[in-house]
Amino acid sequence: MQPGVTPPADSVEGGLWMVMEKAELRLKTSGRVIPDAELQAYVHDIACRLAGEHCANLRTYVVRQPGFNAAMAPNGFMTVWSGLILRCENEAQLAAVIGHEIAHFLRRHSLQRWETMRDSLGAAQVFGLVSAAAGVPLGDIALLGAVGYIQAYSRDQEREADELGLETMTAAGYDPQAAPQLWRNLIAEGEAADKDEPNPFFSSHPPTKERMEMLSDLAAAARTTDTAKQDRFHELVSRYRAVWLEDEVDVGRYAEIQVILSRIKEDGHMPGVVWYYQGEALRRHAEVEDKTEAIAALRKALEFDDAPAVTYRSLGLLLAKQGDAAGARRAYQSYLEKAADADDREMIRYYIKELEKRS
Amino acid sequence: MTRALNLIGCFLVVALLAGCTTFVAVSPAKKHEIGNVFRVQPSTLWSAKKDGNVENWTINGFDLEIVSFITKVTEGKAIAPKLQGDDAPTFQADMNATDVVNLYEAVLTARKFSQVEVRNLRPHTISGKDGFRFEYSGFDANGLAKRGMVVGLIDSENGLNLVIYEAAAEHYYDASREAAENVFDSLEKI
Repeated sequence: MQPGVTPPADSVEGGLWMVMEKAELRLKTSGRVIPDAELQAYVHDIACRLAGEHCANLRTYVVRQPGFNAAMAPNGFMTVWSGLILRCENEAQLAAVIGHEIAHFLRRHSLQRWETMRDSLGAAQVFGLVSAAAGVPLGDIALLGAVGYIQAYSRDQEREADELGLETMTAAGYDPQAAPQLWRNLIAEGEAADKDEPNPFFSSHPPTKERMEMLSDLAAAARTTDTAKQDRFHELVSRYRAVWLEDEVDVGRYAEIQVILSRIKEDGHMPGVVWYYQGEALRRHAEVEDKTEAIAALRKALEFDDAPAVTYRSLGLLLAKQGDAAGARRAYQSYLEKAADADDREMIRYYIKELEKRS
Repeated sequence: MTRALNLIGCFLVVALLAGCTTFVAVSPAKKHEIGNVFRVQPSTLWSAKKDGNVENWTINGFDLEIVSFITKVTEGKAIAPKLQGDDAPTFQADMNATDVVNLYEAVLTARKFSQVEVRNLRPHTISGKDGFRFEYSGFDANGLAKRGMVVGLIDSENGLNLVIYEAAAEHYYDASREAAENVFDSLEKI
């Protein structure tokens, strides 16, 4: 059967489609899909260029969710997490992941995983796991840890998806070197982690050394044209970078965030925002007792025009704790001047009064 | 055989009653003490369930609307340690309202909330003591839109104390808001 052809309802694959359709409907009505038609169309367009004649069978959803994950369901819907786009340095890296997932879809690799799930789990568990395996960030996300066990692709399937993914991205005009580079970045992030947390994407796509070498060899052998226009990537990501970084900081994976921020800093995009989040991650990280580096990062952010006004607020909070009442007051005052519409102005004025009482 | 069935029946009744006894009615006719920190008199009948330093009230069911009193979160303790695990950010005595907002955002993250927006952090007074108040919105783990409001009080004796009203954004938040506001308005520090 070709992808996109609806399987008979009483077949094994038909059962999988039914569950996936429920998961897709749940995702669509959940409020997690980013309500930006331009961003959604942009990602869908990349998927279509990679999928070629199968474009009509694809539906893509960019969901607001920190962490690196993308997955494609056998009925043709793909979820791409905002945390994945945040971690991509360019459109070619995003295309590498999308192309790889489309390859799994075209080769119908998930059917085998479905049979494993169906045989070993109850209906409720199956729905949760299938949803999680399709990258739907709803329900018991603890299930994501179990997804790796259930959905791990075989080595042959991974190789096949890597080969086909690289082939399609190269044919679409992307530099295939983007694929191994993205994996190297992800490995560096994983190595920096404070704790070993299950990553749904790594669970199903283990980043082994052997695989990295194979990807590099395949990329080196590919005839690249590198002609794909990628200007819109930075334009669209700039729109959301601050929000997505805030999501990552809220999750509390501070060590990994530093790796991401270092990479974005090298690219030179939005330096004020990037330095602010570097300082903010250090400020919020309870295990970092000495906040000198956090203060330095926030001060560095303020050297750039794009530093958000909240940089002053964070600086004020840290200086107040360090006993620098005058410095804290100045920072709070600057925040009030820069953030005319901030809804916590009354609270900041209260902090200033308290500092004045103490001095 | 009949005796055995009777015994099983008794066990079932006892088990059911045991389950029921954890809920108590909160009458609007009198003041109630919460965690030896707050005294509160609601304007309507709530059902309450207590678990350690957390007391939860509801009118229509916890998934629809809930008022949570979290008291005596002391130095080095997380707001919701059972939910957040060992690596949770913890309350520190030198924290202020903005820090507590960050702590609360971490709780929402642990609850798998997404698209959390915190608004209107401002000073709030309870029995003449300086506290703070803020509102928030987001989508819960099931993708349901939720709204909430929080009143907080930090004191040197009891640490951090929070009173939280959270409800489904559609219908229930507005429907039970007046009852929740009355709870907030009646708060007294013991």
